[in-house]
Amino acid sequence: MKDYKEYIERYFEGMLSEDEELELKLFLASEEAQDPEYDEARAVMGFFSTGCRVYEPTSVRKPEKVRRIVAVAASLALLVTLGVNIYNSNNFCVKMSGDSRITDKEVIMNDVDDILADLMSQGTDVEGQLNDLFGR
Amino acid sequence: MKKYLLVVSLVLLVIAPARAQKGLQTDSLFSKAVPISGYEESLVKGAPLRDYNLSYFRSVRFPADKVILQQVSSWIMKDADIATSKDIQEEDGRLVYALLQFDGDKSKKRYLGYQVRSSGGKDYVTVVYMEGRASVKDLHSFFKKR
Repeated sequence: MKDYKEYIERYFEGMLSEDEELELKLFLASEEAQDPEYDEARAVMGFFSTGCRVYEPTSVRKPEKVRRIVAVAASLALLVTLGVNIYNSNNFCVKMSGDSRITDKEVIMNDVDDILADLMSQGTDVEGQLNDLFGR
Repeated sequence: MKKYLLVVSLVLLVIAPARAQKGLQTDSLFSKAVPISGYEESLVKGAPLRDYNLSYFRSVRFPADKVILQQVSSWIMKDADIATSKDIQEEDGRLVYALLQFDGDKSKKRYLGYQVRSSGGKDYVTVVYMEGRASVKDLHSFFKKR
């Protein structure tokens, strides 16, 4: 059986490597280390393990949650921007006159109204004429 | 992967083709293939046209001499050949008015309008392309009520 007393001494001196420390922990948790001479080492290593879990920097736990929130917010912002662009591309008015570009909705729609009114006034309104003739 | 596909689909929707009148002879006018001075063009889409029950309106207006009148009239008459309904008027052997309707589903009727007006000794041509739910009867009624 390996002599872990040397490991314990080096543990208290801070001289154990990570692998050796893990090996020592496994030993102390096993049935072979039930001798009272290992109680002190077991108590100290157990305390430090618990302390590490309790005082684990919260920043280690948060990134996953923060990343998700940022990803959702970014996706929403992108969708809103695309939605606005789609709305704007589907609803707009513009008039080009020579080198001038007019985007005043009222001006353009007045023009549209005049064009349509003139176009329809010259057209043949068959139903309208029949209504006029037969007084419906 | 799903997010990527969603983004790509939305981007493609944004890049909507602006050539709704493509396929007609008069498309040359709207694409400015014919260089004409004094040319005015209007383009309106969506919400501003709601009152007319239309979804798309594009018009060009310009002063026209005999040559241009002849060219534009010939395009209009070629488009009239494929129209499902037409209202055409001539004066002194020249085309002065046309309102053409083309095949389309109920939610999107397509129209081409042509009109020549004289002012100050000059002829002015207006060509209009429209899409929407409105019928010709609806448009007549709309302007008659006003």
